[in-house]
Amino acid sequence: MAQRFYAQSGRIIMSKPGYNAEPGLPDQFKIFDSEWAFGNVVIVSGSVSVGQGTHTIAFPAQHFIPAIEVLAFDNRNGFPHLIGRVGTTATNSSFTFTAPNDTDFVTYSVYGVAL
Amino acid sequence: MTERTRIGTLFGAPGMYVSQPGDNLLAPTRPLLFDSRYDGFEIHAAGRVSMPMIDNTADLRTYSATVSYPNLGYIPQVTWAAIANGSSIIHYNSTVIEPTRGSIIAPTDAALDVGPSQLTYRPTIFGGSQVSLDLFYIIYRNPRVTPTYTPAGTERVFIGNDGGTFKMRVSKPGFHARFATRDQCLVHEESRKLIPVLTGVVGIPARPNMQTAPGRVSFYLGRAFSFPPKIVVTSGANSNVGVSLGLNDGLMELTNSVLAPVTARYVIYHPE
Repeated sequence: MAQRFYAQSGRIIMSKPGYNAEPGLPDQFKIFDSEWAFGNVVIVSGSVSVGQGTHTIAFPAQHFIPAIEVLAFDNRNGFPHLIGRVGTTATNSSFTFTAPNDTDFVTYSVYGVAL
Repeated sequence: MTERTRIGTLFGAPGMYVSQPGDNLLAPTRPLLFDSRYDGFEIHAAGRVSMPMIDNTADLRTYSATVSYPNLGYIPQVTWAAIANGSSIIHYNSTVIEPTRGSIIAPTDAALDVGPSQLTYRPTIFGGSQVSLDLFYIIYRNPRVTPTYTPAGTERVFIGNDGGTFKMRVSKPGFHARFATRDQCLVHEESRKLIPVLTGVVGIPARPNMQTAPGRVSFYLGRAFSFPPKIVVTSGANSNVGVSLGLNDGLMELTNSVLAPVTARYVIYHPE
Protein backbone atom coordinates (compact mmCIF):
# COMPACT_ATOMS: atom_id res chain seq x y z
CA MET A 1 0.00 0.00 0.00
CA ALA A 2 1.34 3.40 -0.93
CA GLN A 3 2.42 5.92 1.71
CA ARG A 4 0.19 8.77 0.56
CA PHE A 5 0.99 11.47 3.12
CA TYR A 6 4.44 13.04 3.61
CA ALA A 7 5.21 15.61 6.27
CA GLN A 8 8.89 16.27 6.96
CA SER A 9 11.19 19.26 7.14
CA GLY A 10 8.28 21.66 6.86
CA ARG A 11 6.96 20.10 3.67
CA ILE A 12 3.60 18.43 3.12
CA ILE A 13 2.84 16.21 0.12
CA MET A 14 -0.36 14.25 -0.56
CA SER A 15 -0.29 11.77 -3.42
CA LYS A 16 -2.85 10.13 -5.68
CA PRO A 17 -3.83 6.49 -5.13
CA GLY A 18 -0.96 4.08 -5.80
CA TYR A 19 1.89 6.59 -5.46
CA ASN A 20 4.19 7.18 -2.52
CA ALA A 21 4.16 10.79 -1.35
CA GLU A 22 7.81 11.86 -1.48
CA PRO A 23 9.75 14.92 -2.67
CA GLY A 24 10.79 13.26 -5.96
CA LEU A 25 7.24 12.40 -7.01
CA PRO A 26 6.24 14.14 -10.28
CA ASP A 27 3.49 16.74 -9.84
CA GLN A 28 0.90 14.87 -11.89
CA PHE A 29 0.77 12.17 -9.22
CA LYS A 30 0.17 14.61 -6.37
CA ILE A 31 -2.99 16.01 -4.82
CA PHE A 32 -1.07 18.71 -2.96
CA ASP A 33 2.51 19.87 -2.40
CA SER A 34 3.37 22.73 -0.07
CA GLU A 35 6.26 23.68 -2.39
CA TRP A 36 3.96 24.50 -5.31
CA ALA A 37 4.40 28.11 -6.35
CA PHE A 38 0.69 28.93 -6.30
CA GLY A 39 -2.56 27.44 -5.11
CA ASN A 40 -5.88 26.25 -6.44
CA VAL A 41 -8.26 28.31 -4.32
CA VAL A 42 -11.73 29.39 -5.43
CA ILE A 43 -12.91 31.96 -2.92
CA VAL A 44 -16.45 32.05 -4.28
CA SER A 45 -18.41 31.45 -7.47
CA GLY A 46 -21.91 32.45 -8.37
CA SER A 47 -24.58 33.18 -10.91
CA VAL A 48 -26.83 36.21 -10.60
CA SER A 49 -29.67 37.61 -12.69
CA VAL A 50 -28.75 41.13 -13.72
CA GLY A 51 -29.61 43.40 -16.62
CA GLN A 52 -27.53 45.87 -18.58
CA GLY A 53 -25.75 48.31 -16.29
CA THR A 54 -23.20 48.56 -13.52
CA HIS A 55 -23.29 46.09 -10.65
CA THR A 56 -21.19 45.34 -7.58
CA ILE A 57 -20.80 41.96 -5.91
CA ALA A 58 -19.19 41.45 -2.50
CA PHE A 59 -17.06 38.49 -1.45
CA PRO A 60 -15.22 37.56 1.78
CA ALA A 61 -12.48 40.13 2.43
CA GLN A 62 -8.95 39.02 1.49
CA HIS A 63 -5.47 40.40 2.19
CA PHE A 64 -4.98 40.89 -1.59
CA ILE A 65 -6.98 41.83 -4.69
CA PRO A 66 -8.04 38.51 -6.18
CA ALA A 67 -8.49 37.51 -9.81
CA ILE A 68 -12.08 37.88 -11.01
CA GLU A 69 -13.76 36.20 -13.97
CA VAL A 70 -17.19 37.39 -15.14
CA LEU A 71 -19.13 36.04 -18.12
CA ALA A 72 -22.36 37.61 -19.40
CA PHE A 73 -25.21 35.59 -20.92
CA ASP A 74 -28.60 36.26 -22.43
CA ASN A 75 -31.50 33.81 -22.51
CA ARG A 76 -33.00 33.15 -25.95
CA ASN A 77 -34.88 30.25 -27.50
CA GLY A 78 -34.67 28.29 -24.28
CA PHE A 79 -30.87 28.46 -24.07
CA PRO A 80 -28.34 30.71 -22.37
CA HIS A 81 -26.15 32.41 -24.99
CA LEU A 82 -22.68 33.64 -24.16
CA ILE A 83 -22.30 37.38 -24.76
CA GLY A 84 -18.70 37.40 -23.55
CA ARG A 85 -16.15 38.12 -20.91
CA VAL A 86 -16.72 41.29 -18.87
CA GLY A 87 -14.02 43.55 -17.45
CA THR A 88 -13.98 44.23 -13.71
CA THR A 89 -12.78 46.74 -11.17
CA ALA A 90 -11.94 45.03 -7.90
CA THR A 91 -11.01 45.72 -4.30
CA ASN A 92 -10.08 43.11 -1.70
CA SER A 93 -13.76 42.52 -0.85
CA SER A 94 -15.89 43.34 -3.90
CA PHE A 95 -15.85 43.79 -7.66
CA THR A 96 -17.78 46.02 -10.03
CA PHE A 97 -18.64 45.32 -13.65
CA THR A 98 -20.78 46.79 -16.40
CA ALA A 99 -23.08 44.23 -17.99
CA PRO A 100 -23.48 44.75 -21.76
CA ASN A 101 -26.73 45.10 -23.69
CA ASP A 102 -29.11 42.13 -23.52
CA THR A 103 -27.51 40.62 -20.41
CA ASP A 104 -29.89 38.39 -18.47
CA PHE A 105 -27.41 36.88 -16.04
CA VAL A 106 -23.72 36.63 -15.28
CA THR A 107 -21.57 33.90 -13.82
CA TYR A 108 -18.53 34.85 -11.79
CA SER A 109 -15.58 33.32 -9.98
CA VAL A 110 -13.19 34.90 -7.49
CA TYR A 111 -9.83 33.11 -7.39
CA GLY A 112 -7.01 33.03 -4.87
CA VAL A 113 -4.64 34.56 -7.44
CA ALA A 114 -3.09 38.00 -7.14
CA LEU A 115 -0.99 40.18 -9.39
CA MET B 1 11.66 30.70 10.11
CA THR B 2 8.12 31.60 9.14
CA GLU B 3 5.10 29.45 9.95
CA ARG B 4 3.71 28.03 6.74
CA THR B 5 1.34 25.29 7.81
CA ARG B 6 -1.43 25.26 10.38
CA ILE B 7 -3.76 22.36 11.08
CA GLY B 8 -6.14 23.83 13.60
CA THR B 9 -7.86 27.16 14.03
CA LEU B 10 -6.73 30.19 12.06
CA PHE B 11 -8.64 33.21 10.77
CA GLY B 12 -11.36 32.19 13.24
CA ALA B 13 -12.11 28.88 11.53
CA PRO B 14 -10.82 25.35 12.15
CA GLY B 15 -9.18 23.63 9.18
CA MET B 16 -5.90 23.44 7.29
CA TYR B 17 -3.92 26.40 6.00
CA VAL B 18 -0.67 26.60 4.02
CA SER B 19 1.04 29.78 2.84
CA GLN B 20 3.10 30.13 -0.33
CA PRO B 21 6.81 29.27 -0.03
CA GLY B 22 8.56 32.06 1.87
CA ASP B 23 5.31 33.73 2.99
CA ASN B 24 4.36 33.94 6.66
CA LEU B 25 1.02 32.27 7.31
CA LEU B 26 0.35 34.58 10.26
CA ALA B 27 0.81 37.73 8.15
CA PRO B 28 0.54 36.58 4.54
CA THR B 29 1.31 38.97 1.72
CA ARG B 30 0.29 36.59 -1.08
CA PRO B 31 -2.74 34.33 -1.59
CA LEU B 32 -2.59 31.13 0.42
CA LEU B 33 -1.50 27.92 -1.24
CA PHE B 34 -4.17 26.00 0.62
CA ASP B 35 -7.10 27.54 2.48
CA SER B 36 -9.77 25.20 3.83
CA ARG B 37 -12.28 28.02 4.19
CA TYR B 38 -12.69 27.89 0.43
CA ASP B 39 -13.01 25.53 -2.48
CA GLY B 40 -10.51 24.26 -5.08
CA PHE B 41 -10.98 22.94 -8.59
CA GLU B 42 -11.50 19.23 -8.87
CA ILE B 43 -12.01 17.38 -12.17
CA HIS B 44 -15.17 15.39 -12.79
CA ALA B 45 -14.95 14.63 -16.52
CA ALA B 46 -13.01 15.82 -19.56
CA GLY B 47 -12.98 15.06 -23.25
CA ARG B 48 -13.02 16.14 -26.87
CA VAL B 49 -15.94 15.40 -29.19
CA SER B 50 -16.89 16.23 -32.75
CA MET B 51 -19.29 19.16 -33.17
CA PRO B 52 -21.20 18.52 -36.42
CA MET B 53 -23.15 21.09 -38.43
CA ILE B 54 -26.86 20.62 -37.66
CA ASP B 55 -28.34 23.43 -39.75
CA ASN B 56 -27.43 25.60 -42.74
CA THR B 57 -29.98 28.29 -43.53
CA ALA B 58 -29.21 31.39 -45.59
CA ASP B 59 -25.48 31.04 -44.93
CA LEU B 60 -26.03 30.71 -41.19
CA ARG B 61 -24.39 27.46 -40.16
CA THR B 62 -25.13 26.03 -36.72
CA TYR B 63 -22.88 23.45 -35.13
CA SER B 64 -23.77 21.53 -31.99
CA ALA B 65 -22.38 19.01 -29.55
CA THR B 66 -23.84 17.58 -26.35
CA VAL B 67 -21.72 15.66 -23.88
CA SER B 68 -23.02 13.65 -20.95
CA TYR B 69 -21.32 12.89 -17.64
CA PRO B 70 -22.34 11.23 -14.37
CA ASN B 71 -25.01 13.33 -12.67
CA LEU B 72 -23.55 15.73 -10.13
CA GLY B 73 -26.84 16.96 -8.72
CA TYR B 74 -25.84 20.58 -9.34
CA ILE B 75 -24.81 22.78 -12.26
CA PRO B 76 -21.01 22.54 -12.38
CA GLN B 77 -18.32 24.96 -13.46
CA VAL B 78 -16.79 24.13 -16.84
CA THR B 79 -13.92 24.99 -19.14
CA TRP B 80 -14.91 24.66 -22.77
CA ALA B 81 -13.73 25.75 -26.19
CA ALA B 82 -14.57 25.16 -29.83
CA ILE B 83 -11.56 24.23 -31.89
CA ALA B 84 -11.19 23.76 -35.64
CA ASN B 85 -9.83 20.42 -36.74
CA GLY B 86 -6.21 20.88 -37.73
CA SER B 87 -5.82 23.76 -35.29
CA SER B 88 -4.72 23.67 -31.68
CA ILE B 89 -5.61 27.25 -30.75
CA ILE B 90 -8.03 27.72 -27.87
CA HIS B 91 -9.74 31.02 -26.99
CA TYR B 92 -10.83 31.11 -23.37
CA ASN B 93 -14.22 32.43 -22.24
CA SER B 94 -14.91 33.45 -25.79
CA THR B 95 -16.82 32.19 -28.80
CA VAL B 96 -13.89 32.92 -31.16
CA ILE B 97 -12.46 30.07 -33.27
CA GLU B 98 -9.01 30.31 -34.88
CA PRO B 99 -8.56 27.62 -37.59
CA THR B 100 -5.06 28.90 -38.43
CA ARG B 101 -2.91 31.45 -36.63
CA GLY B 102 -4.35 34.92 -37.26
CA SER B 103 -7.45 33.69 -39.10
CA ILE B 104 -10.40 34.44 -36.85
CA ILE B 105 -13.97 33.16 -37.00
CA ALA B 106 -16.33 35.05 -34.73
CA PRO B 107 -19.66 33.21 -34.39
CA THR B 108 -22.74 35.42 -34.50
CA ASP B 109 -24.24 33.43 -31.67
CA ALA B 110 -23.20 30.73 -29.19
CA ALA B 111 -25.56 28.83 -26.91
CA LEU B 112 -23.94 27.26 -23.86
CA ASP B 113 -26.23 25.16 -21.71
CA VAL B 114 -24.71 23.43 -18.70
CA GLY B 115 -26.76 21.03 -16.57
CA PRO B 116 -26.01 18.55 -13.78
CA SER B 117 -25.38 15.71 -16.25
CA GLN B 118 -24.83 17.24 -19.69
CA LEU B 119 -23.38 20.21 -21.55
CA THR B 120 -24.49 21.53 -24.93
CA TYR B 121 -22.52 24.03 -26.99
CA ARG B 122 -24.06 25.41 -30.17
CA PRO B 123 -22.25 28.16 -32.10
CA THR B 124 -23.71 29.73 -35.24
CA ILE B 125 -21.37 31.08 -37.90
CA PHE B 126 -22.39 33.39 -40.74
CA GLY B 127 -20.79 33.10 -44.16
CA GLY B 128 -17.54 31.48 -45.17
CA SER B 129 -17.33 27.80 -45.87
CA GLN B 130 -18.27 24.89 -43.68
CA VAL B 131 -15.64 24.08 -41.07
CA SER B 132 -14.92 20.93 -39.13
CA LEU B 133 -15.19 21.65 -35.41
CA ASP B 134 -14.55 19.84 -32.16
CA LEU B 135 -15.62 20.71 -28.63
CA PHE B 136 -13.11 20.45 -25.79
CA TYR B 137 -14.59 20.34 -22.30
CA ILE B 138 -13.62 19.91 -18.67
CA ILE B 139 -16.36 19.46 -16.08
CA TYR B 140 -15.43 20.29 -12.48
CA ARG B 141 -16.83 18.92 -9.25
CA ASN B 142 -17.47 22.52 -8.27
CA PRO B 143 -20.95 24.04 -8.28
CA ARG B 144 -21.46 27.13 -10.44
CA VAL B 145 -22.87 28.72 -7.28
CA THR B 146 -20.73 28.08 -4.19
CA PRO B 147 -22.85 26.70 -1.33
CA THR B 148 -22.90 28.64 1.91
CA TYR B 149 -20.50 26.84 4.21
CA THR B 150 -20.85 27.13 7.96
CA PRO B 151 -17.60 26.67 9.86
CA ALA B 152 -18.06 24.42 12.84
CA GLY B 153 -15.87 22.76 15.42
CA THR B 154 -15.98 19.44 13.62
CA GLU B 155 -12.96 17.27 12.83
CA ARG B 156 -11.76 18.89 9.60
CA VAL B 157 -8.57 16.90 8.94
CA PHE B 158 -8.21 13.14 9.07
CA ILE B 159 -5.30 11.11 7.71
CA GLY B 160 -5.08 7.46 8.63
CA ASN B 161 -6.91 4.18 9.00
CA ASP B 162 -10.58 4.48 9.86
CA GLY B 163 -12.00 1.05 10.66
CA GLY B 164 -9.89 -0.65 8.02
CA THR B 165 -10.26 2.06 5.37
CA PHE B 166 -7.49 4.51 4.52
CA LYS B 167 -8.75 8.08 4.53
CA MET B 168 -6.83 11.26 3.70
CA ARG B 169 -9.21 14.17 3.99
CA VAL B 170 -9.55 17.86 4.62
CA SER B 171 -13.25 18.57 4.75
CA LYS B 172 -15.05 21.73 3.71
CA PRO B 173 -16.39 23.95 6.50
CA GLY B 174 -19.13 22.28 8.51
CA PHE B 175 -18.40 18.71 7.45
CA HIS B 176 -16.81 16.00 9.57
CA ALA B 177 -13.74 14.79 7.66
CA ARG B 178 -14.13 11.09 8.36
CA PHE B 179 -17.77 10.95 7.28
CA ALA B 180 -17.71 13.51 4.46
CA THR B 181 -18.33 12.62 0.81
CA ARG B 182 -15.79 13.48 -1.87
CA ASP B 183 -17.74 16.64 -2.77
CA GLN B 184 -17.73 17.67 0.89
CA CYS B 185 -13.93 17.53 1.01
CA LEU B 186 -11.23 19.87 -0.23
CA VAL B 187 -8.82 16.96 -0.15
CA HIS B 188 -10.08 13.40 -0.43
CA GLU B 189 -8.20 10.19 -1.05
CA GLU B 190 -9.90 10.02 -4.47
CA SER B 191 -9.25 13.68 -5.39
CA ARG B 192 -8.33 14.67 -8.96
CA LYS B 193 -7.18 18.21 -8.35
CA LEU B 194 -5.95 20.54 -11.04
CA ILE B 195 -2.16 20.71 -10.90
CA PRO B 196 -0.48 24.16 -10.80
CA VAL B 197 2.08 24.09 -13.60
CA LEU B 198 3.11 27.61 -14.68
CA THR B 199 2.81 31.21 -13.63
CA GLY B 200 4.31 34.46 -14.86
CA VAL B 201 3.93 38.23 -15.03
CA VAL B 202 3.87 40.12 -18.34
CA GLY B 203 3.15 43.63 -19.58
CA ILE B 204 0.38 44.16 -22.15
CA PRO B 205 0.23 47.31 -24.27
CA ALA B 206 -2.77 49.62 -24.07
CA ARG B 207 -5.64 49.41 -26.49
CA PRO B 208 -5.06 52.46 -28.69
CA ASN B 209 -8.73 53.46 -28.70
CA MET B 210 -12.11 51.77 -28.48
CA GLN B 211 -12.38 51.56 -32.28
CA THR B 212 -9.25 49.41 -32.60
CA ALA B 213 -8.29 45.90 -31.58
CA PRO B 214 -7.10 45.35 -27.99
CA GLY B 215 -3.44 45.65 -27.09
CA ARG B 216 -1.73 42.27 -27.21
CA VAL B 217 1.39 40.37 -26.25
CA SER B 218 2.33 36.83 -27.19
CA PHE B 219 5.04 34.51 -25.91
CA TYR B 220 5.94 30.82 -25.78
CA LEU B 221 5.37 28.93 -22.53
CA GLY B 222 8.03 26.37 -23.39
CA ARG B 223 5.75 23.36 -23.33
CA ALA B 224 2.82 21.86 -25.19
CA PHE B 225 -0.49 20.74 -23.71
CA SER B 226 -2.38 17.55 -24.43
CA PHE B 227 -5.55 19.18 -23.17
CA PRO B 228 -6.69 22.77 -22.64
CA PRO B 229 -5.38 23.82 -19.23
CA LYS B 230 -7.35 25.98 -16.84
CA ILE B 231 -5.96 29.53 -17.04
CA VAL B 232 -6.65 32.40 -14.65
CA VAL B 233 -5.41 35.90 -15.46
CA THR B 234 -5.51 39.06 -13.42
CA SER B 235 -4.21 42.54 -13.95
CA GLY B 236 -5.09 43.69 -10.45
CA ALA B 237 -7.75 46.23 -9.62
CA ASN B 238 -8.73 46.89 -13.24
CA SER B 239 -8.87 43.73 -15.25
CA ASN B 240 -10.10 42.96 -18.75
CA VAL B 241 -7.60 40.51 -20.19
CA GLY B 242 -8.40 37.90 -22.86
CA VAL B 243 -6.44 34.68 -23.33
CA SER B 244 -5.71 32.31 -26.17
CA LEU B 245 -3.30 29.37 -26.24
CA GLY B 246 -1.85 27.13 -28.94
CA LEU B 247 -1.91 23.70 -27.36
CA ASN B 248 0.71 22.23 -29.72
CA ASP B 249 3.26 25.05 -29.61
CA GLY B 250 2.52 26.62 -26.21
CA LEU B 251 2.14 30.08 -27.77
CA MET B 252 0.05 32.18 -25.41
CA GLU B 253 -1.52 35.50 -26.34
CA LEU B 254 -2.95 37.97 -23.83
CA THR B 255 -5.11 40.89 -24.92
CA ASN B 256 -5.87 44.06 -23.01
CA SER B 257 -9.16 45.86 -23.66
CA VAL B 258 -8.50 48.94 -21.55
CA LEU B 259 -6.95 52.17 -22.78
CA ALA B 260 -3.84 51.93 -20.60
CA PRO B 261 -1.02 49.38 -20.50
CA VAL B 262 -1.40 46.77 -17.79
CA THR B 263 0.74 44.24 -15.98
CA ALA B 264 -0.91 40.85 -15.76
CA ARG B 265 -0.28 37.61 -13.91
CA TYR B 266 -1.30 34.33 -15.48
CA VAL B 267 -1.54 31.01 -13.67
CA ILE B 268 -2.00 27.72 -15.48
CA TYR B 269 -3.43 24.50 -14.05
CA HIS B 270 -3.41 21.30 -16.01
CA PRO B 271 -5.63 18.24 -15.61
CA GLU B 272 -2.51 16.06 -15.70
